[in-house]
Amino acid sequence: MTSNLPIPVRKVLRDQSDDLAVERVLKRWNATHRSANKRTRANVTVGIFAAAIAIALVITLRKPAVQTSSGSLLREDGSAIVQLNSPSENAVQVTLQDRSQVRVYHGRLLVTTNSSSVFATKLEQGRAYFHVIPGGLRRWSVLCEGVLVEVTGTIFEVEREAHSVRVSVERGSVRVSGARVPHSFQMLHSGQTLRVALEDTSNSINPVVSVPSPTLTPVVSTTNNTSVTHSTRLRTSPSIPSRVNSQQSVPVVSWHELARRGEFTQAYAQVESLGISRTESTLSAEELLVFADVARSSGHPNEAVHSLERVLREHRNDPVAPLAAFALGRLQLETLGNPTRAVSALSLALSMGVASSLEQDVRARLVEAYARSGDSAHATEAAQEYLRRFPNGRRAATVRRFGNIP
Amino acid sequence: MFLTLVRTDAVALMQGTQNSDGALVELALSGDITAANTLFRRYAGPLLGLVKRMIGRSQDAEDILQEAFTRALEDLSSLRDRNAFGSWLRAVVVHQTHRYFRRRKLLRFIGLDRGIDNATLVSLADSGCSPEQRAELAALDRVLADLPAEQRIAWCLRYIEGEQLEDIATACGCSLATAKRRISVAHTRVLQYVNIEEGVR
Repeated sequence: MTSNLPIPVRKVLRDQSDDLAVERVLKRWNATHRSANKRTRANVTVGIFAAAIAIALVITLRKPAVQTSSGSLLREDGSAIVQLNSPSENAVQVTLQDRSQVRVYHGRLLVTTNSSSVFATKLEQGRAYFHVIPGGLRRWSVLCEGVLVEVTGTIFEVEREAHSVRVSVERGSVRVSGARVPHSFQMLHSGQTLRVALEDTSNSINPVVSVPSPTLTPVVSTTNNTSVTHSTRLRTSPSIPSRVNSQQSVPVVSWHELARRGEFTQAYAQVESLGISRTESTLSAEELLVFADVARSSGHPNEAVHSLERVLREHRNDPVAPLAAFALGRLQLETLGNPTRAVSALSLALSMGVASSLEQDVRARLVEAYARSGDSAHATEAAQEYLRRFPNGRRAATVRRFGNIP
Repeated sequence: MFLTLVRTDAVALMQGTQNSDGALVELALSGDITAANTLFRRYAGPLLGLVKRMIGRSQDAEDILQEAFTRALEDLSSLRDRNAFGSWLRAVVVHQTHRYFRRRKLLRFIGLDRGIDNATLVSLADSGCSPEQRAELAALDRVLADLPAEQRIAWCLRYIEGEQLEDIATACGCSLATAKRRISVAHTRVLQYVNIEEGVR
């Protein structure tokens, strides 16, 4: 008998035809489809009213716009910005209508996306300096050779060096991500610099040098799109060593990585130092879920509630939204002692459709939440539903107890 | 009267030679849920088996299929070639599988991964499989579990299902070059731990 697996490997696997499973899937799909049709009709009606109210509010409250009707960010003089080119070491600078400034030295910066919520650029060559005014609604980003820098309000530089991309932060914080970035992404804070090697150095470590950022020499002329006569190359102060001393290098570990290692207190502290609301506004639904776990595990359950509610509010249609509802229900029930709120969250999780592997847990906790909130009638009803679906479920005994079923 | 005539036409379509995928898609688009059920029932069995082999869990495979059907029905109007429903649905299923792997990684991270690996390749081994081949299947399960989702899916489609590269690229929603690269990287890893026959055409 051969020991090798054949190709395709299916040849040695038995036929997995499962008509019962197919019927189960179709039955559930049909049930979901019918419910969705009913909800859609109701949602359309609510949506129309909500839109009408929103339009009325916008007309009433709208402030004079400084951008075009498309929401894109323009230069101070009202003209569009598409790219900045600087053929020499002399900087080309532009001031934008929100007072942010961008300077390019010996290179080219393209504006790839410009809308009311995003100002995305790509540094093809040279060095670019950004002074992004905090408090704006736009997320700024700079992409350079696969290294993505994201900010919401800070002063920083990105430089395409010979064999690396350098990111230096003067004020505020930036998020740097990319396949070549250590641990896939890093947060850099004031005074920190990160160099991301562009060659394949899979065995090397990219140290982050934690030294005070050199003061940027002010530009002599600030006329828009006019190259200045003086070089404004970044100069290091004499006290800063020109080479990295490995004893001084302080690797920056992202909060995400700290959380992965189970260092939740440090992870939470890092996000707190950046500003939790500000950080949360840049996170995806999945990242918010992870942060909620960080907050819960580090003893900040109320912050975890905020993060989870943010997922449900801003990422309702994201696939992780049911998970967020479940996590919220557990938190309210088991940590915060709010069974009534737990009922709402767990019911929401069920209506959104949790994965089958979690459904037992959700339903069992729902029974407990009803019981603890004093609603014994619903507790019994939910318990009966659990037992109907999972007669031999792993939480049947608990469910019977809370549902008052012998 | 009008409704009766419409229904009769629909029944005739389904019963006659016009029960091609294209005809059923048209009916499903007009709201005929029976046509939609017929369409999905045609492909559900093989697709369920495909997902199970890719993810190793039967219960989650049913969830993925259900979600894929829901998405497919929502997006059915975007299907230009109505008779290509089968391959299009396959791409929707593969896309949902990819999303599932992302969710599973997140669940694992926050300690909520309750799924049971009850459909691993070794558990699906045919009775005619030698003990050595079972051992190889178990090794393959372990290697696949460590691969990034996109590589795992592409490799499974190629070496477990035996699909052509162009079809894999279509199912994965990527270019042929990307599909080849994913498969190649995964295969290099698999060969370090598993004995597989060479020479896939």
